[in-house]
Amino acid sequence: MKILTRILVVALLPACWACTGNPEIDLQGTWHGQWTAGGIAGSLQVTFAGKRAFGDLTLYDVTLVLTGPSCPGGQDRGTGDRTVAFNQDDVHFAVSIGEAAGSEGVFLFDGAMNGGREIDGNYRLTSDSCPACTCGLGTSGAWTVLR
Amino acid sequence: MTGRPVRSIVIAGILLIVAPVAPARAGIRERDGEVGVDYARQRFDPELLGETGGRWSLRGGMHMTDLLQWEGQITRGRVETTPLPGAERSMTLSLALVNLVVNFHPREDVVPYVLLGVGIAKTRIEAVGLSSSDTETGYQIGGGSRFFFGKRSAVALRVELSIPGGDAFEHSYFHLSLGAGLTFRIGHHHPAPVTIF
Repeated sequence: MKILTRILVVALLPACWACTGNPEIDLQGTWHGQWTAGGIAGSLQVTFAGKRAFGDLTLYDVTLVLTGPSCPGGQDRGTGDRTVAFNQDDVHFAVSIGEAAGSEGVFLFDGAMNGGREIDGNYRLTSDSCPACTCGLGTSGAWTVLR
Repeated sequence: MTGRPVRSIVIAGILLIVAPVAPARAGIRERDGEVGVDYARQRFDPELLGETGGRWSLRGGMHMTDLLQWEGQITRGRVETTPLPGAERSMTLSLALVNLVVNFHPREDVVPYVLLGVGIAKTRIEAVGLSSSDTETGYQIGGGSRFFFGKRSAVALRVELSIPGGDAFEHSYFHLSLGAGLTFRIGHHHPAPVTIF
């Protein structure tokens, strides 16, 4: 009987371990939040789509729409195809803002999951400049989005 | 030190290096050693970028019989794409394999072969600053031919079509590749004695 109990305990341990592990999080969908750079802030909408596996990372396409104090009537839009990389905790994505050749700017957003419904992080401009940017993102700042 | 002793030492050194691959007859046979280096263009598995990149290999082995050869091979291939600055995606595959090579001898200076290899594979991926790697079983199937340069050469062009692969991230990945390189016979082989009866 003792041996049978031990066998049952050993058999159940992996199942219990699986229950305590992180459930798989899917970023797919639209997230809303804000960005801040120095004293300025604006709204941010990030859409992750086109989920595909890349080893044990997950890649997505990204669309970003943002507003700010310098573009009250307009917005900046950015896109990236398969430029989102995600693992259990970290989200990195790159977007190109502006479509006209020579005026686009590329931003890299690094973030970490805070629970399953919030991402917080920082961003920085990785191209030389962003003439197409009108909302005042600047060259670096912070961002947060919620599902 | 005068020039003559230095020259002698240099010549002796060159002979020591070259002697093992000095020409006897073209081809490669039982008890011959073989070393080589080659470069391949490799189409990485569609699940892992699906792009074409380069792969380098070093090989060394011994022909146990005319037919069978054991060969060790280490190889490393990498491919990278940069859709946006700072958003690079890359994949690096490193393999250490032991190949069993079956050789054929239709001509003295042409030695085709097929091979089957097994070993370990390290697969490393990077995307937009995040990375991950996994080391598991590696394997390979392939075939090709050695073309010796002349009838008395110990050096050959080795051309090979192969599919190296590896397990990683709970999947199996395969990467079709076409490579070419130089291979060197180490040791001499002599024609079989002629028996007149």
